[in-house]
Amino acid sequence: MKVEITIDESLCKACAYCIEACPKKNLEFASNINKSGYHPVKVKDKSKCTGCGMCYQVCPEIAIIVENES
Amino acid sequence: MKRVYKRPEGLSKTIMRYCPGCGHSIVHRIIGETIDELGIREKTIAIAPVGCSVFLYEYFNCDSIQVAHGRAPAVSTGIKRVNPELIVFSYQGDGDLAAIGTAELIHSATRGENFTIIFINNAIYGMTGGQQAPTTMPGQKTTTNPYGRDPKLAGYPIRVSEMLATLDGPVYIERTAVNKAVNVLKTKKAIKKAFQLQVEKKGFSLIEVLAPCPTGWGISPLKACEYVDKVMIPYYPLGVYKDLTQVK
Repeated sequence: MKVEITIDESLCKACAYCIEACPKKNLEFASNINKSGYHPVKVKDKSKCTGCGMCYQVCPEIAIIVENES
Repeated sequence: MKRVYKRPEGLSKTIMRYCPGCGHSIVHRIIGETIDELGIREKTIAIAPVGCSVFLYEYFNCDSIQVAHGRAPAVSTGIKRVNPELIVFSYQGDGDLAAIGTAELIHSATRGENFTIIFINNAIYGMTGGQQAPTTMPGQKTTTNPYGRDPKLAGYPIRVSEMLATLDGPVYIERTAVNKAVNVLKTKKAIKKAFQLQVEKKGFSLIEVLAPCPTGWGISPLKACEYVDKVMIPYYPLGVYKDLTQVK
């Protein structure tokens, strides 16, 4: 199984919905600030991502792209 | 098998200017995905309301019209009767649909016009600064109700789905929410079914979506989702209120 998760930092508005929705608790806020002034979300450990797409489902900004090949 | 979760083609590349945690953009994405999956982008017309989603025509990658406040069902009726082959959906908030547009809503529903209404219920007038809407919860604080909505003074919230389900015209009415992943998936299913019914020319369908409005409610996005769960869903129970078909 190959999973690829990309987060577009510039779109993130730090609502934290994805952090709450991730079943593996694999997302957290980054320490840097994006151009809109929010701390964007980043993936803690890409190898732990199962590609379930729950973060994509709840993300209001469509900032998260998940590719899941199984 | 490869599954890719990315921005649907039904949406344009424009960045959505909604507040952090707004339910509108989640529902936009769901509609965009539905348009993609049913392959109806070339013949879909979106009707934008007055409200936060007034710029909907910039976000959707299909033809759209922005109409006068509350008159979306009337314009949808016109388009659909002139060209029944088009897929028409109106996207309305609670102020647009349940306050100023009540007459248009009820009469287009009872006529059973063949179009879909996506009704976003966030219990407040978001764009104008958080005033009381017809769907504001009893006790909920708004800028026009600083001590909370008092039903003796301001009446009780309107349950639109239940009200319309008593009519004979509508074919499919369901209430869902977008406050957590499981409800988002159910909303997707409901909206896809509503569009499918329209493609099959079955008749009027309305999907009411309970959405968080963190800015209007003055709380954080996660607290707003909790509010939907604890306060709104007990008053506005989720579920199918009318279904005259057996389409799956």
